[in-house]
Amino acid sequence: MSLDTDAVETFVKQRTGARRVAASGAEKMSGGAIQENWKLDLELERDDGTETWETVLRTDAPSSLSESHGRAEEFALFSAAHAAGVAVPKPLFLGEDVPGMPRPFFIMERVSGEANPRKLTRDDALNGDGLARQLGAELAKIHRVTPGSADLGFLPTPEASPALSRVAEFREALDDSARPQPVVEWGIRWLELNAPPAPEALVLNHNDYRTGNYMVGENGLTGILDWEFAGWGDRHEDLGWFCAKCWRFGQNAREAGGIGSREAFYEGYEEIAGPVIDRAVVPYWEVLATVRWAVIAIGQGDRFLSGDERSLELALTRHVVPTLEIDILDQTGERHA
Amino acid sequence: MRDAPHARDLIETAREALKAELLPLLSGDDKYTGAMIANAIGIGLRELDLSDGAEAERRALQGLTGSDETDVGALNGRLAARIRDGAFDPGSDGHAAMRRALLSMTVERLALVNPKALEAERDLGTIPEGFEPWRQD
Repeated sequence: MSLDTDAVETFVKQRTGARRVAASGAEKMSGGAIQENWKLDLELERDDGTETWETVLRTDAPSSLSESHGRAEEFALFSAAHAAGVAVPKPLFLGEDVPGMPRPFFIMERVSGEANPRKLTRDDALNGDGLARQLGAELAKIHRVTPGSADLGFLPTPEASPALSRVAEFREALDDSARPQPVVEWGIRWLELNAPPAPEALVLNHNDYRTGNYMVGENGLTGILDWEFAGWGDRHEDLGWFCAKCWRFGQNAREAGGIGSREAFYEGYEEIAGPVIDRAVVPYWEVLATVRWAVIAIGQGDRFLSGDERSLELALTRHVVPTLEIDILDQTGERHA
Repeated sequence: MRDAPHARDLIETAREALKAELLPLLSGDDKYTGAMIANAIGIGLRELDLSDGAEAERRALQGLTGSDETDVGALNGRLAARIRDGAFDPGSDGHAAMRRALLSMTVERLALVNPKALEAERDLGTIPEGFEPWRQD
């Protein structure tokens, strides 16, 4: 797979009015069966001099899914987050129906940092309460984006309560799966029976805010990644996803993402958002996070089993589910049955 | 007549060679792929070695769902449907038995796909001391 750098040069020239644009260093970055990320340096020649931009060009891989947001929508999400002061790469241009580029794409500033969750959770020089506080603060900034405040009309609104919307979504996913999942069904039933009341206000949930989806540089957080699932919801859902045991990469004592203490994470959050966290309800959303991840992993296993994608990673992801099931059983009832 | 060494022997030895001789040479994405291959082979070997346990599960689920269905998949389907409908909610007669059944199937699955995680959960007390899947008390 290659990138048509001539087409990109023409596009950037048009958008910026530069006299000349030269693209260099095009290199596909690792990861992502759904999106492609290309490292790209752009040299812009103008009347008053030359600038070099270090960028990333992000586009759909040929084998895309329909569930995650398209590039145009992701561009809108990046723009809203950037405007709210969130640490995201600055989005530069969105390209649709561009000659030479078969699929929509956008170009953003290139940000560097360590994203590997095993490295981050194990290296004490990188993790700790300081980073946990920063992670809380960034999440609070994301949650400053609300339905009224940004051009994100494409995002669906949850119908009843965000919790009961998820319950319905999970059941539909299991029905599509056709192999019975009694333990996950029990988790979903528990979520239905114990659903908290709908929140007063909906916020922009990242919906995959966890260790593995952000980058850390010398001075801390450099970028929040993977906005494909963002949507309106209850802020506690994002808090629960970040703190769920299944997303601590084995560092169970560091309850905030395997990085630092829960209190440091909450402190960072409330410094920006004010005293809005209902601590008593977060455990509910941690159960929901575990059930949601189980449903996703089951879906990935189904993709493997259908023959659509014979990826070893998909196959093994399906076998993460029993560790999630044990968490579901532990967190939904009396300690011992 | 086929000659030894046979399937299990060959596959286990291949796995050892992968871990001892190839993995140390790999880094980054390639190392991750190598580790996944070793993991997949490990799960496959345990699946060959561990007996299916379906008989005990079949009997337990027949009792729980009040069905004489014999297919374990179908029994799991009935159980899942009744859980969804609220038949085994807290306070119902079958609630504790349902939880024991769910724990039994989960412990069996964990023994297969991640025995280290199972051991860790036993140490944490998430699984009651001496718990055995499908044991009738």
